[in-house]
Amino acid sequence: MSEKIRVLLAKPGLDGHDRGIKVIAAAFRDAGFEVIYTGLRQTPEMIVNAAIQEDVDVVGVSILSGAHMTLFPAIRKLLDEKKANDIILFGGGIIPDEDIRALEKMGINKLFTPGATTEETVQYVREAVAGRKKDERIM
Amino acid sequence: MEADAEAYLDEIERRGGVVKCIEEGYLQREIANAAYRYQKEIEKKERIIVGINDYVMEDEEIQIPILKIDESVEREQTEFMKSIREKRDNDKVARTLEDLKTAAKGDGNTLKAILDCVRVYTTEGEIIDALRPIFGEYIEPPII
Repeated sequence: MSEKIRVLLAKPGLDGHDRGIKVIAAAFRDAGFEVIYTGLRQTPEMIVNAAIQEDVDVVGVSILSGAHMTLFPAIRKLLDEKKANDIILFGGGIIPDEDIRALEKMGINKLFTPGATTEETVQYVREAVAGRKKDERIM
Repeated sequence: MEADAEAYLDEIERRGGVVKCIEEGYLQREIANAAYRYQKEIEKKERIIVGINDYVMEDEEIQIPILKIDESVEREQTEFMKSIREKRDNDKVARTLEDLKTAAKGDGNTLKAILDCVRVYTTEGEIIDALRPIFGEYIEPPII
C-alpha cells in the first residue's frame, strides 16, 4: 500500500478505561498506520471534528461504560452530517451481541469484544480501507 | 525482581522524580508498553491463561442476564432534582456556595465548606461549577 492508513482512536464519555485502546494504538503503529489518540472524556463532537481535521480514513472508538447505544450512533450521525460519511467507524468494548447487531445496522461498521486479537483489528482496518478505496475508483 | 524494581526506582530518580515522570508521560508510557507486551504474549501463547488461550472450550455459551436501565430512570431523577431545587432554601444554597468559593480561593477548609453545601441540598454540579473557575480542570494528556 502506497499511502499510510490514518486512524483516529477515541474514548468518548465518562469512561477512563484506556488500557485496551492504548494496546490497539501500539498494534496499529506497529502495523504501519498513522495513529492519533484523542485521550479521555471526549464528546462525539470533539471526536468528529478531530477526525475531519486530521483527515483520517478510520475512527476507532472504545466504550466500556455501557453507553454504546447512545455514543456510537451519535458519532456516526455527526460524521454523516459533516459529509464525512466515507470515514469508517468501528469500535470495541463490552457490548452485548444484540446491541452489536443493532449498531451494525446503524452503520457502525465493526465491533470487537474482549478476546479479539490485535491482529484481527489490524486486518479489519486494512481490508475496510482497501474496500473503500476500491469503491471510490468505481464511483 | 528486587533488582529490577531498584533499577526502576533509580531510573525514576534519574528522570527527576515521580511527579516529573508523570508530567512527561514516562510512567503512563511504561504502563501502556507493558499492557501491549502482555497482550502480545497472550496472542503468541508465550503467556498461557487457561480458558483464554489454552484449554478453551470451543462451543461454550455463557448466558449472562443483561441489566438494562430504562430511560424512565433518567426522567424520574430529573423530576426528583427539580423538586429538590424548589423545596430547598435557595438563599442558604447561595450563601454556602459563596463560603465554599472563599475557602477555595484562600487556604480555608474546603471539605467543611462542601459539607455545609450538601447539608442544605446544594447539588454536586453546583459545587463543581463553583470550584472549576478557581482550580481549573485536569485534562489528562493523551499518551500512547
